[in-house]
Amino acid sequence: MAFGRKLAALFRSRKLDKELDEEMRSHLEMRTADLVAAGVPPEEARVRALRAFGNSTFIKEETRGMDSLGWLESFLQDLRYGLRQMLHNPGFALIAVLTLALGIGANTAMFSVLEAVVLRQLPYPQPRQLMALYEGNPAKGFPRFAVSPPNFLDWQAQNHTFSYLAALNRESWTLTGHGEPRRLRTLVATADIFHVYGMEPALGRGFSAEDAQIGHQHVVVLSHSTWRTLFGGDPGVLGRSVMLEGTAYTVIGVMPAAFRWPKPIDIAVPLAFRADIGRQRGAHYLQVVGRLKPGISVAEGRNDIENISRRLAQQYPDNDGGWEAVVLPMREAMVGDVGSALWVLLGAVSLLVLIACANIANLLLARANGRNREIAVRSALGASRGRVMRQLLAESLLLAAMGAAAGLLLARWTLQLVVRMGPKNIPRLDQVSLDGTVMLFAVVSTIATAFLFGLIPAWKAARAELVNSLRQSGVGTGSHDSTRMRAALVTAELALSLMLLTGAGLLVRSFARLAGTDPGFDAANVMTFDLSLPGTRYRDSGSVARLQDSLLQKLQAVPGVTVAALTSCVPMSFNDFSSSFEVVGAPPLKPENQPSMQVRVISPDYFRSLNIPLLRGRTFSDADRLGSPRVLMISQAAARTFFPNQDPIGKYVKFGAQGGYEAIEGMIVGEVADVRDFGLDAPAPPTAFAPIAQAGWGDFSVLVRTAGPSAGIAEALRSGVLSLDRDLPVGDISAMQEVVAATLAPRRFYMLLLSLFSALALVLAGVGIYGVIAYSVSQRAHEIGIRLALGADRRRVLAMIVREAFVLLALGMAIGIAAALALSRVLRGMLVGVSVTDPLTYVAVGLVLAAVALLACVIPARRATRVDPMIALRYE
Amino acid sequence: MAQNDNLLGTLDLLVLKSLAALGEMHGYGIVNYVQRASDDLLRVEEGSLYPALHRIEQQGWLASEWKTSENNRRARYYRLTAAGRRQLQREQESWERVVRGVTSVLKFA
Repeated sequence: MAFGRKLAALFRSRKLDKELDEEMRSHLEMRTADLVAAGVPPEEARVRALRAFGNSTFIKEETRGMDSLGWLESFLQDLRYGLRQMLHNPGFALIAVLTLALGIGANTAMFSVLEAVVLRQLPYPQPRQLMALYEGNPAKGFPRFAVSPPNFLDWQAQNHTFSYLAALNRESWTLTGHGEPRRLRTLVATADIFHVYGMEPALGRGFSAEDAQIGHQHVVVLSHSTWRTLFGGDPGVLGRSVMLEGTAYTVIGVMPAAFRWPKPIDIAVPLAFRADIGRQRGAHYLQVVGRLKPGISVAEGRNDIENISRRLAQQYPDNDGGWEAVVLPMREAMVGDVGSALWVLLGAVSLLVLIACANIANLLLARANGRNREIAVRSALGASRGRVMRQLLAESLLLAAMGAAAGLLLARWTLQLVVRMGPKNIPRLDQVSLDGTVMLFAVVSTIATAFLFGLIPAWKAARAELVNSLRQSGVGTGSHDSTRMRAALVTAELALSLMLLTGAGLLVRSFARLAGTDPGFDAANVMTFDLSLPGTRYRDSGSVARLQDSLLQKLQAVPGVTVAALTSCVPMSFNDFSSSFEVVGAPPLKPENQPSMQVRVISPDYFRSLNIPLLRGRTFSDADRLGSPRVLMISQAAARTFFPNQDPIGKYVKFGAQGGYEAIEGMIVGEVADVRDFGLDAPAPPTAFAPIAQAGWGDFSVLVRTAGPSAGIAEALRSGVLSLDRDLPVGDISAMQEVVAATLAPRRFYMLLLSLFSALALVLAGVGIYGVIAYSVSQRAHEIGIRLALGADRRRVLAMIVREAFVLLALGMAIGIAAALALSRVLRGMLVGVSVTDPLTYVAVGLVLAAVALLACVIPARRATRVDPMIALRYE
Repeated sequence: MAQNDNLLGTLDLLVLKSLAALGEMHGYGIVNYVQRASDDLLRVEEGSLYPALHRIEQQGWLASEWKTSENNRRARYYRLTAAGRRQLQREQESWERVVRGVTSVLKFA
């Protein structure tokens, strides 16, 4: 209670002072009046009243002291004093605040990215219960792969640890009969999907068990945004029929506005398994998510599913042999290796903050020398060391707070940039915001920063020799102690900068190496878009092939187009399709021992459109059609892996999986060069190619090579497609170069950020060493003057100053290299083709740092040699 | 007159008791009342009064407000709060115990 009143008094202090004055005045007046009434002359009455009252200032202080909260009031006093100090020396304050803004801003921005992407819980009830389930086959090189339907159904039936399991697929479906045909991001999922996420539709209902039966599965739940954009938010939409993939679906629900699927989804439809699904045990194409029962740990859930999976492997060795269950917390599965990269970046930006702190500590130490006398006077007047330190720390806190305020503005601005420019493959990046957690982080880091850079100077100042400081004349020589301290700080700065530069250097080298890697195809001037022929209207291979033929003719005729081609998926699109296969005539293998490779279904001009060279045999021609002999081509990696030391041409290969209307098989007629289909950082996978005309494949991508850069061609392509089929939606048309760049986007992002941090560190370190040398020169102006007067060579004076800087530099670099070697291991996962101890990087980085440091010290050193001996000697 | 403050807390007791008797009074009035009521034996040092009033008010035992005095002068009038009344009770009891104790010691000799 008393605390509250005192706190209130603190904020009304001026008013309280005035009231007290008035109260005491009225007391004196009353006493005087009484004395006058008793016959004392007015003059004397007043004197006597005052005498009885005593020292009024003392009383006032005493009275107001009853209000004071001790530390808080003196702290506010210190802040006011600090503010005045800053106004006295705005240059210093500006530099300090800007440096801090940079440090705290970058740190806060980086943390908020980490918080949103990695740390934040998933936005569903009891998010820790959510799991992602996979099957893996390490022997075949699939550590985490999709689940086959029968295995999923067995997990669902036999587990004891999950409240719900759901299987799902993300597909692209076509909506027709509702304005222009449209591709919708479609979630095809088993009935429990809503229970897993713990969210029910806001309008209508989710899937029932009956909806997941074949024949009843034609119902759809809209996401909120789809409901708003396509149906104008009409609540009467329930029960309405929409045409999806040429079939009528009934709208049964609308998701709440606040609900987000882990990846953007427009509509959800039930996944119904055919009665004979049990035969598909070897077909891995489902994603599985689950919700653990309350109180069940991740390990218990994992054990449970792993046990079932082991039993299945024994029960069905042909299909499940070699496969094992992989159970991960959903958040971990989503974030993946992005998390470790972001932690490294946060660490890097923290080093930057340390450098900024060292810089400001240096400035403060230099300034403390100028303030020695002020502090000595305070001590002489009775301020304790603790009190002096408190005052100086309050000033530091003030600086840090102003830096943080500016830094938050900077962070806000930076984040908008990061969200806009950041790679799409970093999950949840669009949800980055300066929320409460981030603010708390900013406040804590501000206070920590203030202590980091303020404590040493404050401690030193408070310990200053009282008598000496008072005796000293205006210009102090600066104690040896504090000079050493400043040198140590600059050394630390140099070491930290070297560490950051090394990290950035390694990432740049790795990126340059990757970007210079030949992807195996020429992406320049190639555009691509996806098409999907609905099975309801393109019911057989013949109708699919007819459309594809006329499509190719149509596109070929578009002005500017030199080659048009089709493929089941373009390189680096990660919509891969692989299948096990057998070579006819070779000894038969058990299914689990059958090799598998990537399969691409292409039109004859595919290799020409991407400039992929033919190595052996022939490419496909228009003569390879339905009904003509089946043919295949393979990549160099496939030839090397599966036909070592033999000629693959003429071998007949049959694939197990089927993506279109026809089985995939044929005689190998040609071999082409490798393509790095899974990104520049992964080896080219063994791949087989089949002619699209023989496969009846309705989901494909179009590739169009143009003579040169072609801006307006997208519209021509789109209308070309629509002229063949009005109900065929054309997806986004993108340049192949963008597709390639997207695979490098996360690395580019990390590299750019780390380079930015290390560039800032370099600037700060340069400023730091400049400050120390410039200060040392100004302190030694007198000495240098004497040397010059006695005939010292100016060059030798210059060398003397530079030597001083060189010692700091050498020491800082030695420590920095040692620390960088020790710490660069954390970068290992982010580097490709470059060792963490890459000597070239270390040498280059060392040279850059040395150049900056020497440049920073040459400026003040040259000034020293221009000292006029007469002026220097006359000084004092 | 400093001797009046020899016993710590006496001033608080005097202020509380005076206000209990007067109902509502300004600082000068309290000084006068103590002097009169004690037959001039006790005088409140004016320099200690205002810090004491302020402190007691911070404790929540007094409330104050600005009013016009009988001679048309603005003055700050203090009065006891309910908590102040209880505090007076406590302080009075403890004071009486002290007096009884001291008296017994004196008589014993």
